[in-house]
This record gives sequence, structure tokens and C-alpha cells, in this order.
Amino acid sequence: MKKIFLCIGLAISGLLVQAQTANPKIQFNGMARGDMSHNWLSSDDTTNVDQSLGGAALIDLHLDIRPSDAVRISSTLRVKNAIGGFWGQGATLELREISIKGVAAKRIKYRFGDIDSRMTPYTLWNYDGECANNEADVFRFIREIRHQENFNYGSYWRNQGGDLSWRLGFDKGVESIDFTTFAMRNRSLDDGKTPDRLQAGGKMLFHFTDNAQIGFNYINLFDLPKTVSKTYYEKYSNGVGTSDFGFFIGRIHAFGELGFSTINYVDTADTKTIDTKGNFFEVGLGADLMESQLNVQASFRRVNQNFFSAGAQSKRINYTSDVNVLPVVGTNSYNRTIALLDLLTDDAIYNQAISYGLMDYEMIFNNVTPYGKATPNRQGFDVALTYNAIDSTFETDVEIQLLQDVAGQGSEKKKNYLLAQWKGNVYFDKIFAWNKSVSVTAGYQFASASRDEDRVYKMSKELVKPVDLHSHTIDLGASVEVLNRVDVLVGTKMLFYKGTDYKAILNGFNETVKYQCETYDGSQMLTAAGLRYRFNDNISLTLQYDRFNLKDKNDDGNSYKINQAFLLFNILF
Amino acid sequence: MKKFLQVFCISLFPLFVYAAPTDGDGGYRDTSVVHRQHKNYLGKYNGKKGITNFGVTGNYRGMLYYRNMSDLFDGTYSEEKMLLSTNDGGRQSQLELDVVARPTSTTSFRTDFYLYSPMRGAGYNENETGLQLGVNLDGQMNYEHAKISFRLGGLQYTRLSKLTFGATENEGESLFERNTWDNFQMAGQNYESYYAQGTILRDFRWGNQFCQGLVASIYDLPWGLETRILYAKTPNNGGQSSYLDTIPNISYGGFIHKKFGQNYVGVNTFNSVTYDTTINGNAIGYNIATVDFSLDFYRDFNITGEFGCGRYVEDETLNTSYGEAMDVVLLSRQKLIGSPLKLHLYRLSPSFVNLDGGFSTYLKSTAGYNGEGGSSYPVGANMSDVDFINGNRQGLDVRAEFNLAGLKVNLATGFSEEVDHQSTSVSFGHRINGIMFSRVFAYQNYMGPYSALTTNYRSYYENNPLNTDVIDSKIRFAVTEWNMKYKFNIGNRPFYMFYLGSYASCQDQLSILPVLRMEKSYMRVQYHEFEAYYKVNNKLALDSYFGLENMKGSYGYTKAQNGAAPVLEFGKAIGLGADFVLAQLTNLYVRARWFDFNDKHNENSHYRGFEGSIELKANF
Repeated sequence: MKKIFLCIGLAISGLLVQAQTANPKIQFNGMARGDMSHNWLSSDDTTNVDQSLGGAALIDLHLDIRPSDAVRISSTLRVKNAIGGFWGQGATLELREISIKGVAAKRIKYRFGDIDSRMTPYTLWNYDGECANNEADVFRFIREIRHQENFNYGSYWRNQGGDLSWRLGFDKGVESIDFTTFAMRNRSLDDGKTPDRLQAGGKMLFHFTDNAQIGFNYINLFDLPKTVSKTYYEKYSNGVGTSDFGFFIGRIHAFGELGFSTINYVDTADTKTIDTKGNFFEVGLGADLMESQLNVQASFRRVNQNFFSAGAQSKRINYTSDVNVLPVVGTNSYNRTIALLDLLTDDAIYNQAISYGLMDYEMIFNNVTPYGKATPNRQGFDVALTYNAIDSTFETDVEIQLLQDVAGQGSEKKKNYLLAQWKGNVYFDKIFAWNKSVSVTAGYQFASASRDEDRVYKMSKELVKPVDLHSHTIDLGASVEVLNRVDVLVGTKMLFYKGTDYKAILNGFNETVKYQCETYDGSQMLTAAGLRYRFNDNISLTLQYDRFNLKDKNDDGNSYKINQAFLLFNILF
Repeated sequence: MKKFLQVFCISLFPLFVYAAPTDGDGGYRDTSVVHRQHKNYLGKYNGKKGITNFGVTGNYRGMLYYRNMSDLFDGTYSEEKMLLSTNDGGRQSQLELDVVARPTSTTSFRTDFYLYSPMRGAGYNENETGLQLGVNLDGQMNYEHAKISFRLGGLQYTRLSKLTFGATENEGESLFERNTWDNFQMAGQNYESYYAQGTILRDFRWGNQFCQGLVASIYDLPWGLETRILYAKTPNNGGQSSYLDTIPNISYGGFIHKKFGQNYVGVNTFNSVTYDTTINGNAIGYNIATVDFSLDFYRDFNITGEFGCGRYVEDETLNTSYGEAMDVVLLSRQKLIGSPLKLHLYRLSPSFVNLDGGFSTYLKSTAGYNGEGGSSYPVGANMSDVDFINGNRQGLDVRAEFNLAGLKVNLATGFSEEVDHQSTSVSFGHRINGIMFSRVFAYQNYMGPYSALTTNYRSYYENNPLNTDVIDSKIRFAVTEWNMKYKFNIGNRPFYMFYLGSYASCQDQLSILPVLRMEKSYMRVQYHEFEAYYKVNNKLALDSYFGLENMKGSYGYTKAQNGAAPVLEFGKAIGLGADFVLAQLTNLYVRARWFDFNDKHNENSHYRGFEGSIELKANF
């Protein structure tokens, strides 16, 4: 409380300075947002709480303070009041972020505080959430708000710590080398038993020419055992070292990365109980064709079953979270799990921290690459093609990943995977030279896992069922400007899934405890229609209706429908 | 790992001297893969030009408040003590900062910080921070045939109509008491405006009701149409903290007005729905629909009013019926008596229930309104002021204003009766010491030695049960008010004298004037407030106040709670004060008040004491 008050005081002092003296060293940006949403179950669902209503108004005031050209201090203060909290009740004042960055001695860049960082997809990378394959505008802007709320800026992770970066220039051989080192605090517990945990590492990037680079990366998530009593020796470490490269020869480029990972754990009896090593590599070729309108690339990767990189494999969604919106549904009155609707609307299911173990995932969303490229126990080919029309009238993108287990899971046989993604956008206003914008977006994803089993299993006790889980995710959307600044937005997101797969139930060190057989047969459909008024590119008012329908053909008592209407006024300034 | 880091660091150290900053933000560059995701970042501020249309206003309100409650009821209340505080009651900020920003010409947002230090001594660290009204976002859309403005958030103040969504506008008030919302004025300025214009400076809350949610207005429509839509929460939708659950309690409504010149005709609706705590709970609430208008005719005359109907759903499993409401004011500006004459006719059926309207609603049940969250309790048959309308009541008020050689007189009288005889108690306010007493016992129901007192914001009232064995017909009311204002000079400086008095009775017979005889009335209530202000100069005004109230219950008809005798109450107050202008936009207000209350018929119903305050207020 004291800290908050102090921060408020500082912020307000800044405001006053700005207001009264227009100090050019302090600038304000930020965001203001007001929303009200009403959710209700279908009328045939009478046994559960069937409606919910909520909303809030908030302002994120971002202070950009520049004491000198070489120093920049940033902080965001959030003021929020919930709809239904009168006379200050439910109002909060929150310090969202604070950081400083600058250049020391004109040579070394530094950052400290709340900073965004990433390295490579195998070391530190915030893999995108599921089922976001070119979704319609009517969904995209809501998801962007979730990203904003959870500091998911691109593939960067928001961390608390500091980093340094500098460059060395050379006359011969190597043009320059970029260095970056960082250290973040991952965990700080004050229970006297659990040590502080940091994540630190660095990168050296050699620029031989503008078109030839080799990087060396290292990152480690590790405990500081001296931060707890001597009677507790628990110590964890996850190190990942990689080397990545990229070479361009004309329109052809080659790229790749290879590396290793380790997990070490010493228990409270000072005994080393976990010592796991993993590795991976990826190599590929790409080409820019047709005056760079067409980009083609193909790669092969192999990620060992023991490869673990906390920074690259942590997920944005915490699938063990409870959902907030109408959590009990269906004639079975069961606690529903995270569904398409929640991915877009529920901040509480988002994860902001690097996890020291593989997090849970939802197989029906994507059981091929649940941890992105760094998904362990996968090997195979990845082919991608991107085409952008020269007059920007349309663009399309397709990617196919044909993968296989590196090692069988609960079976000597290996699963085969196929992940196919396509997306395309058409801009009719550009095709027909209309004044008002009309665009259509579409996306499709097919994900499958298959593993046939020997007849002996099938005919006898069916100890291991064949794996045949597949899912189709379809995104369709349109945005039509019907009046000046007024857009009609429509979109749908469909997910169909059927089949059986085994999910490995892991302990905290990614060791398989058991394989859990899951059989699915159902669908999820999210449909939305909205009206948006754009004050400018950064400010809009949206009135939207969503309808979500989940069908569980295995047990109709788990089926449910949720309707949602909301009003959202978003100001980015 | 450790070795690797050592080698890494040692190898880098000699190179520092040749170092130069990298190009990228943080130095990370991607060399390995093609990235196709997240090209659009939302919410990244770096590099954006700061907002320039940004302002902070507000006020500082430092206060020293002293109260010595030397006598309080039976002597067992913990409030019988001396109190030193930096707050004279309620939620008051010492420093209020109103932040307003306008990113574009058609959008803005605002909030207000509430900062308060109770000054309990160094080391206590009990400073309070928060928001006063909260966060509001505004937008406006301009089209050739319509303009749309809306506000999202809250608190926000707005109004639909008197009978649907609005606040009471009782103008008879004492100027001696300070209000937290008073803006800066030069010494004596408010006394002059009260004398000259008949009212004081009001802020944006006056006559408006507060809510949280969406309010949108559409105006400049063709054919003189304008409309307003409201979809919001009020405290009657689950209480002051209804955000804690997701029960879909909400209020919604709106109006459509057709304007022609200064006149208009409109239709209004307001609906409040609240659910009890059972799963998919029973809906409770009220639905109101009205027609209102304001029409000038024969140049001098104006008729303003509202007709409507409403229903109260106390429990959706019970039958409900609609009740009617009417509130009409006929005004002659000059023609009839040479000065304003106002005729006010009203009728509100007992089924016409609305806790958010500009009247005192009627609740039949003895418990509070369930949707409110605890503090909206039925007031019974209220002996209210002239022009102040109540539920389950029909009546007529007449008000006239005269200027007799500088003596401004405002006379009013009114009489009314229950529509249906349903009340089992009468209620009346304690105006003289109401603000003080509500500071001592904030927001309490049925308290005091006879469980008859209820406090609310800056006032309190008393319920006295009627002897229902005797009273079996409608309760009828009569009230007369006198408001006189006079100004003269002493030493070439203005001296203002104000008097506000009223006498009210309730009885079984219809009477145009209050019934003075005890045996013919159930209850008689009178208030007398004298105020005198002297503007010494532009920077100093002296203030004084004397108030007297008297409530008499009649034997056989009324009784105090718990079998006590009908009341015979006397409330008195004497106040002295001064207003100083210390600097531009900075005032110092000093107030001292001696108060005394005694019910001669009922033991322990008495209190006495002194309160004083020094208030330093600076606006910026």
C-alpha cells in the first residue's frame, strides 16, 4: 500500500509538472478502456447460474521520462474502477510497469526493470496462443487486448530484470559482433524453503556481412540456493545453449539452429536426482521469388524428447486455470474447461511467467506443436509459402509440418503428425477501387496425430488404443465499412475434433508419470457480429454479440451454449 | 554452467573498450527463422508522441474538525466523547485531482484521485488513496443529421425525467453548513446569489442521479428529436459493491423528446432489475414508463409535468400490478398576481415504486428494498416539505413569491393524503441538527434509544408508529412554508438575513392548512431557521445561524417505539462562523455550532454538544 501510494505520488507529481510547466522531458501516452459485457447460457440450461454481467473503466497512464538523450524511464500507472463499485469501492491504483533504459558511455545499452526480451524459438520465445490462425477482425482486436493485458507483445516475454548489449566492430573477417547479456528474476518466494530463481544468459551474434550471421546463445533458469536456509539444498537448473545462423546468397537463404539443453535438480537431501540432457537441430532453405512477392522455405528439424527450454516452451495459456465466464454448464453441471471463447475473453487464464516444467496443453487445439517449434519429441519437415500480391489486393500463406515422434510415447511405435495451416486475406476495396474498405479474412488449420497399433493389442486387451486424433480449425471473417468510420464486423471460428490420443502426464521435471487416454468427438463454434465506430486508427467503439456453442458428442450433458454481448470503448493515445 | 559463464564473461571483458551500441532495441536480432506472427503490437507506447491535451485540476481541502458530544441518549453510546479529526464525516479527500485528457477533438477520458491523510500521527501510515467518482470515457460522433455523445464508466451523473431517473431538487436549505463540493467563491458571494437569484451555485450533480455504465445521448436529430439511452448500474442494483459478484443486476431506460422551441414532449422509461442470491435468482425491481412535457402558453404560463405508470416486482413469484403517477406544475410567471405563482398537483400510486427517481418512494414492507443492499428502508408516511413528492400520495401545493420593498418572500402551502391507507408509521426529518447527527451515526437504520432513527447522507429522520387501533382511514397531511430574505447595508456593506420556516401536520381530515390542535392531529412538526451574514469586505464574511425544531405527537394516535410516549421533541442549534479569502482561489472557513436535542416525553432521547471546524480550501 505504501509503495502504491508512493508511486501514485510520483506519478501525480509528474502530472502536475507536465500540466503546469509542459516539461518536454516527460511525455504521456497510454490507453483508456471501458467495457461492459453480459454473458448468458442458452435458455434450456436451467440448472446452472445462467447469466453474468461485468465491466470496468480504466486508464493506463504511461510516463515516458527522458532526463537526457541517453536515458529513458518508463512507467505505467493503471487507474481502474469496476462497474458496480460506487464511491471508490472496487477502484484500484496499480503500478503496471516501470523500467529504465539508456546508453552508457555511448557504447553500452542497458535496460532494467520490466523489460521485454526474446532470443530464438529454442531459447527464449513467447509462442503464440492456440487457434489464432488469421482470425477475423471481430476476434483479433479482442485477442490483442488480452495480449496487452498480459504483456504479450509479439513473441517477447515480459520479465523483470536487466540486460546489457553492445557491439564490437572489426576491420577484417567479421564486420561486427553484437553481445547481449541479461538476468531476470523468475521467482521470489519468502517461505524460507524455496530459493530465488533467476533466468540469465547471453547472445553473441557475428555479422560477417549484411547477409551472413552466426549467433551463439545461452540461457539458464537456475536457483540461488543461498537465498534459503542451509537445511534446504533444493536446487534446479535448466540450461540451453544454441547456435543459429543465417546466410543469404542472392534470393536464396539458408538458416538453422542447433543446440542442447540440460535439467539438473538437487533435492533437499543434497542429492542430485535429475540429470537430463536433450538436443535439437533445425536446418532449412528459403527463397524470395517473383520480386519478393513469393517466399518459399523448407526446413527439417529434430527436437529430442528430452529437450527442454523453459524460456521457449512456456505457454501463454495456463490450461489448469479455472474459467471465469459461467464456469458451470451443461445438464451435467460440470466445470467447463478452457474453450475457444475463453482464449479470447478471459484474462485469468493467461500465463505471464516462465515455467520450469512443461505446461499442460489442450490437445484439440493443437496436439502437433503445442510448444511451438521447440515442442519436444518431434522430427520432420516444415514447408512454408507466402505470397503477397504486388498491388496488395490479396495475400496468402500456407505452411505444412510433417512430423513424427523421435521416441515412442508409451509404445514402441511413433506417432505421425500433420499440421497444415493456410490463411488468406482479400481486400475488395483495393480490387474494385472502392472508397470504403471491404476485406475478407480466412484461415484453416488441420492438426492430426496418428499411430496404429499392432493387431495383438487390438485383438486382446486393447492395452493401447490407436491414436487418431485430428482437428479442423476454420476462421472466417469480414469487415465492411458501411458508413464513414463505421464498420460491420462478422466472423466465425470453428473447431471440429474427433479421435483418441494419449497425453503424457508429467511430473515437475518433465518425466512421464503416466499416459492418459483422451477420446474426443465434438465441436466448438464461436460466431460474432459487431458494429465498430473508428474515431481514428487508435480509438474505436465496438458493440458486439458473440455466440459460442460447444457440442460434446461423447456426452451431450457436457454440451453448452454461451451468448455474450459487450460494449468496448478503446482509446490508445 | 558456472564455468561456461566465467569463460563467457572473461572473454567479453577485454572487448568492452571497443564496444559501440547495437542497432536493435535490446540487441536481439533474429537470424534463424522466418517470422510470420505478431506484426501488429497493440499497446506499445515507445516512440509515440506524448499527449498534449492533458490537464489536471482539483482542490485541496484541509480540515480540522472538533466535536464534543457531552450528552448522548442513555450515556452508553461510545460516540459520547470528544473527537478530533481531519474529516467532518463521510468520504472526503484532502487532495482531489481531476485528470482530464482529450486525445482527439471527439474523445476524452477523465478520472479523479482521492488522497486523504487522517493525520493520526507519524508512523501510523493509514493514508487513504482511491478514486472519487472513478474513470469515465467520453466519445462523440458527428453526422449531418445526428450527433451522438456517450459516456462509459462511472460514476456519472445524468437524468431522464423526475419520475424515472433523477434526483430531488429541494431548494430550501441552510447556507451555514459547508458542502464538500462547494467551489471557490469570494466572501459573501453565495449569500448574495441566494438573495438575488433565489438559489446558490450548483455543481453538475444537482438534480441528476448517479450511475455506472453507459449513457448515450443522440441529439440534433431531424424533426426536433433527441434521445438518451441508459444501461448502467445504480446502488439499487445489488448495493454499493455489486462488482464483487457477476449477478446481472442492471438498470436500463431512456427517453425520446420532441422539441419545439423551448417546449418539448417526451416519453421515458426506466427499469431496474436485480436478482436475489439464489441460483438464477428471482428477479426483483421496478418498471416505469412515463410521458413528460414542458409547454408555454399564453406567453406567461407554463405547464410542466409527467404522467406515467410503474410496477414494483417485490418477488417475481408474486402478482404485481401497475400503478399510476402524475406530477404537474402550472406556473404563472407574472399575470395572475404580478409575481410567480406555482400550482403543483401530484399523485403517485403505492405500486409506483422507483428508488432512482426524483421523489421519495413508498415501500410497503418493513424491511429494506432487497435489491439495494441494505440502506434503502421504507420511510412510512413522510411529513415532507412543500413540492417534495412521496409515493402513495396525492396532493396539491401552491407557491407564490413576492418582493416587498426588498423583502423577498416565498410562501407555500400544500396538502396531501395517502392514495391507499397502508402506512403504519409517520416519519419526519430532523433538519436542525441533521448533518451533525448523520456524522455521528453514519448510515444506520432504526437506531437510537427507541430504534426510531435512520441516518442517511447529511440528514436523519425518525419513524413514529401510528396507533393502528385508532387510525383506520387515510392519513392526510398539510404543510406551510415561509422563506424570507432581506438585505440591507451596515457600514456600506451588505447584511443578509434569511429565514426558513415550516409547519406540518398529519391527521385524518383533509385540511388545506396545518392542523394546530393536538386532538385533531396525529403529529405536528415545525422548523425555524434564522441566518444572518455580514460581508465585512471582499475577503471576509461573518456568518450566524439559529435553528429550532419541534415535533409533537398526539396521545392516542402516535407512539414512540417500544411503547414509549408520543414525542415532544425540541431541537436547537446556534452557529457562528466566518469566511476568509486567503488568496486567489483559496478560502478559509470557520464554523462553530452548539446543538441540543431533547424529547421531553421520552427518557434518554436527548443529546447535546458542540462541533467546530476550520476548513482551508484551495482550488486549482
